[in-house]
Amino acid sequence: MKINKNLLKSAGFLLGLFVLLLIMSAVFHRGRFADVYDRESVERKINEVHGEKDNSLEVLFCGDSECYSSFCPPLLFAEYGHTSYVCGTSAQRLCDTYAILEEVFKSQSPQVVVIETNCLYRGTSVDGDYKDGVLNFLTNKLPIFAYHSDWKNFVGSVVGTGTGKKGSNDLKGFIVRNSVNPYKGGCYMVESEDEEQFSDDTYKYLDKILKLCNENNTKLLLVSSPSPRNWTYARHNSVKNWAEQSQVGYLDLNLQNNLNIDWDTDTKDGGDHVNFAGAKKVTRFIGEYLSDVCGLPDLREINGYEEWKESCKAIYDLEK
Amino acid sequence: MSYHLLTYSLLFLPAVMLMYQLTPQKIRWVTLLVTDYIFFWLISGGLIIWMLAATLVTYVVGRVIAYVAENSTAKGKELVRKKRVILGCGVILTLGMLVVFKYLKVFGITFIAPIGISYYTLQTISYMTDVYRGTVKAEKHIGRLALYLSFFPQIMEGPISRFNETAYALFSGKELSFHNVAFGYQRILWGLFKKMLIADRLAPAVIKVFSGYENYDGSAVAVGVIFYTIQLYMEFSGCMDIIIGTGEIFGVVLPENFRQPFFAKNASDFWRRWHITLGTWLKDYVFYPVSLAKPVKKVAKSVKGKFGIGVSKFVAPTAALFCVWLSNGVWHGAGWTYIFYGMYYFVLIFIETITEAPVKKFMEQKNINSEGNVCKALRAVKLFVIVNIGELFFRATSVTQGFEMLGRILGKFHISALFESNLGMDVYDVVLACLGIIIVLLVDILHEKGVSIRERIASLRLPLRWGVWYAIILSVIILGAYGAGYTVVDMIYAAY
Repeated sequence: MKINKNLLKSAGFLLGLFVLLLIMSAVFHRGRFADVYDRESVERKINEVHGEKDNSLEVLFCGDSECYSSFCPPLLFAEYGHTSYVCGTSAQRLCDTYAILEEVFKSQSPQVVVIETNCLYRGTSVDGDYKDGVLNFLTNKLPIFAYHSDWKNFVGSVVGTGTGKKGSNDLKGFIVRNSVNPYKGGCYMVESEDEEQFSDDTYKYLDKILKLCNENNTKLLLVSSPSPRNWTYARHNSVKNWAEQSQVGYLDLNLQNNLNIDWDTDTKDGGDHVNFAGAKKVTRFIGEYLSDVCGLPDLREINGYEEWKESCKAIYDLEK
Repeated sequence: MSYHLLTYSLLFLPAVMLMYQLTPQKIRWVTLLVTDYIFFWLISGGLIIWMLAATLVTYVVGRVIAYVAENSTAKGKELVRKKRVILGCGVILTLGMLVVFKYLKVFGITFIAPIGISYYTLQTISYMTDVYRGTVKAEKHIGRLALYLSFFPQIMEGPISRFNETAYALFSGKELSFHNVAFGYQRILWGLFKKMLIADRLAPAVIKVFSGYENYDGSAVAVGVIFYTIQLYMEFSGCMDIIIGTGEIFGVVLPENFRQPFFAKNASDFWRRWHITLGTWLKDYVFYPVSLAKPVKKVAKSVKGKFGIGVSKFVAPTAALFCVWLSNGVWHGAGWTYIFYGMYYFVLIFIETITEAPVKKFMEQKNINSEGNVCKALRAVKLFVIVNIGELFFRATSVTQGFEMLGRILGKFHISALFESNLGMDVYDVVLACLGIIIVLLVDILHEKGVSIRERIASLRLPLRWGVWYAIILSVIILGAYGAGYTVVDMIYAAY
């Protein structure tokens, strides 16, 4: 009899917990961006871009940490006169890239969207990808697990410090990384016929992003930043095949000898990301390409871009 | 499989409980042993053979020592010598496996080590030594010994238990009780709170500071070091809560590994409260044997002749203390940082030992109340600084890096620069981590006063009681550092 009472109590406790989780899931699943993975970063990035003058950006850079380590918008403006913004976020997934672009296109009409390709080999959807099977299951089934960090947005909106605030970033989304930790692994792009396929979801989101760009008369460009720790010829082949089939431009900077990346000095973490010295080389290469191949105009002497000259100062200050 | 994963507490553990409960009591130990080996296999695969070999060696050595003690014609010193030779063979064999897997990498020879080899090897040595000393009877049933060495919650991070503490409870196959299951899961929940809410939240800042300290002002480096100390405490003690909670479910009382370490009076007291089972193991199997060893006694005697008893009384304890801290450092790994860490505490505790009497005398002469609030506060600050310096070297990749970081803290400290440093944590993370730390601190204060919080909660009326547990569960789910922007960090001490 006692056991039954305890069992009933346990069942009651678990039922109550389940109901609470359902209620909290409903609360946390509200609002926009229901289908993104990192809602906090997506909102923050969208608000940053909305802080820019409408229709002032020519280029948007999307992707994961490779993106905000490699592309330096102030330098791109200082040396080539192209306005741009880094929409890349840490470990960005394509579902988040799509959500950012969809929102940003409402206030900007970029001529080129660059996707750094490392994010094509990450998870694609809102689903969890932990080593923890039960946490994955709960994340996929109960929104409270997927969107639990939304409490920050909630608190932020109450105290006025949250991601809801509009505001651009001085370096236009670029993150300066000055430390040096050499890569000593030698040649990593050994030519082969191998391919490392994307997931089905990646193809789906790439097609969606391409369609979105086409609808907004924006050119999509795929760029692989130099990264011995992440990039291989098999990955190059898969991206190249998709780009050719979809008639999208693709630049693999891992194969560009004239980029002159010195792996003793140009990486912050043994070949995972380029540091500021490497980012300058990457940005200059992209600048040439955007001017010569994409034909983007030089806006340095055009009125209305004074604020950009200020952000150039910030990057020159960093070089001193 | 790791203890902090929900797969462990919400899938693996309930499955084991069900199997255990459905098995007849007489053979429940078999269910547990099979679970132990499956758990081991899930992590280390075929390396389980080394675990089985260590078990077999330990069993045989225990039986042979007992046989010799009972049947040998030798008596007195001759018998002791015989037993010692057998014990030595056993220790060499089990310790040899540890050396091969853990320390040969110093010479460039690397093997993947079986999980928990550092922990179960100490248990094999303690069992064999206790049989040799006659404090434990040699186990006839190899199943009972195997259970003791491989109990799945203990295998990755300890606690390092003694044979008499757990072997009989594990073997008894006690029925699961509602009270044990409820209390066990409550303790597991508390462990998850510490790990997911605090330790993993601090991890990004720790990684950033230790991997790029040259980019940070001394103030940010100091914060990174303090965060590491807190992360290590929350993570290690949190995992202990999960482990001890699991034991509680099966009616096995595992020894505590932490007892409010930051409330210690000094460094030696700290080590009586931090990683307790390693400390007591070293005391019983290194400190006492060394301090009672003949050569040490001989040296002490000769020092007494030259310098008097005032100096000679320190010889044996100091020699033993040196061995203890060298062993402590080396046990953590084959790196100079670990040896430095051990020697750091050796020097500190040695100084504490020799200055204890003069300091006490000075305090009495000056009428200073050493138990007054000011003294207590100063002691707490001193200990916190000592512990943080130790952890700085423990976490650094080299002793040089440790000194460079320390130099930066002491020489380039600008508090204003702290607020401009990007430590990979937003303001919410910092506030939440601080709140979590305050909660753990309050719980530690209550534990220090001998209050059992779980008993208190259990005595509340049902709605209030359930409300408390729902609040803790939801706080772990909502405020836990997992998902986008966070990384679930692997258990730190499982790597040692």
